[in-house]
Amino acid sequence: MDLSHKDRLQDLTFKSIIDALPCYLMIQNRDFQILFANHSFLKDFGADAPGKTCYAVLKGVQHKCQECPVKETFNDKGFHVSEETIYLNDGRIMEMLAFSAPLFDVVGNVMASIKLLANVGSIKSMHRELVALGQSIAFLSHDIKNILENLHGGVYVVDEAIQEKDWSLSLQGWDVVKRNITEITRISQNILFSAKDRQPVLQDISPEELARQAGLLFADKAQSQGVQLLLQLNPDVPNQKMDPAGISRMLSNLIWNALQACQKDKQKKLHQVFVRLDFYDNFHFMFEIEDNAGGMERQTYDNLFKEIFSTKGHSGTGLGLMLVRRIVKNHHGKIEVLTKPGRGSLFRIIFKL
Amino acid sequence: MEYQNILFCTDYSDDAESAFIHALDQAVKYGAKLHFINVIPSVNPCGLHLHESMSKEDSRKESDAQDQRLRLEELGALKKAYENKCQDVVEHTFEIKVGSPDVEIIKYADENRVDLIILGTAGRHEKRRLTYTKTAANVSKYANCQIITIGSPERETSPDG
Repeated sequence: MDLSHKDRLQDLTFKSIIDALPCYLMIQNRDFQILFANHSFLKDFGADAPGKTCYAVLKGVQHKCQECPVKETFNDKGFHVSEETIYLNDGRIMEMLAFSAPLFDVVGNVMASIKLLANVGSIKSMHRELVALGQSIAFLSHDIKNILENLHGGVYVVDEAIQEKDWSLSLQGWDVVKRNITEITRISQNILFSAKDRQPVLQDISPEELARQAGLLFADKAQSQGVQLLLQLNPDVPNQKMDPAGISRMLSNLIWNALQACQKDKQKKLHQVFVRLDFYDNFHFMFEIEDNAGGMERQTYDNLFKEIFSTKGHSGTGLGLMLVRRIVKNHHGKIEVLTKPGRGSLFRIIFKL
Repeated sequence: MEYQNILFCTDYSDDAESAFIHALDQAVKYGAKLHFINVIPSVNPCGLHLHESMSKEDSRKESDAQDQRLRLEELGALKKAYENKCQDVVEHTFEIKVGSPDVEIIKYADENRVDLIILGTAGRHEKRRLTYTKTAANVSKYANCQIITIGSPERETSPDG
């Protein structure tokens, strides 16, 4: 290429600008083969990326992507935008906004497409958090309103009972008040726990002791509901480095959910909730919370652990399971769920020994 | 009730061997396809870092690769153990899954339109584990099809089964 000194300088400046762009830039042909890539791209995807296909480099797959802005650009000579998830060599997964634009030859045909990828992961994450926050506030407001209405109902019954001097009726009303105070206390505790961006405070603790304490915490509630709360704890599971506050909250949320499910299920005469601690295999141990209540329908199961999803109407916000998921994630554990409508549910939490 | 897909779950325990005889009988009787499954534990069920120097994603890939190698080894063992016993008798297929036996058996049954699961009452289990969690009990409770659990006549049973 015969360029004048001035042109070469301009070319160098142009290339240095392209390389310095805080985004990925590449040029692809009709077969999605990378013809050119800027420095940022080559640094993150390897200097050997040119010559390979875009989908092989960005997604690690051997097939074309279903939705591709470059394909659209070749089809209609237009400018296109899409959202893409890409996989970096170091294992990071990034959410990107992809822009494509045509590069024309002298007769106006698209000879190549320029593709620019900008990282929008932090914006997407913020967006998700804002959506979750909005949903949380809506659900929580609704639930707190329902609980307050129930409290008013309970107070009304107690007032009536006092006027009528009806001791039995006052006990019924007082029971409603107590139940709803417990519920609103629980919601506020979960809100406080979830609102703080707290890091787990790891301590050497006995999982058996944590499970026992969590079980005992609900002994009275279970008894008042006529539910058998059974602890099956393997004392051989050794002490672990865990965050006692987090694990206690995880267990209590799961036990609470199980008890609520038992209360809701009117099909069985005897309800049982099991709290188990045992080895999972040679290198892992597990907690299990199992009930024999009504189980979950497919839709509920599919939505489990999504931010703020609840089927419990006035008696639950879904915040509890969201916290369980977060706590398990913070402890690098795994959650498994078995459920069947009419039979019950089992939540298994697996942690490394 | 006629069965089209029968799932036989094995861990090669005495109970599983007793269950196999029944599974084969049922498959022959109904002309059903017999699915053999063995669920093996994952090397890294929680997807943790295998080494401090490895990224989580690399650890996951390495764990998956190790699981896949184990899967292939176990698939050979499963075929070796049962292929001769049912060849030319019933249509059959072999599968090795990695994970928790109860979860994987139920998932496989749902995905493959299994209408009968046959498995041993007591399988091999981690020696240190208490008998609280039983694969057969969980599959019986949570699977969405009929279940038959079979105990070996030779097995000594404790009062809780």
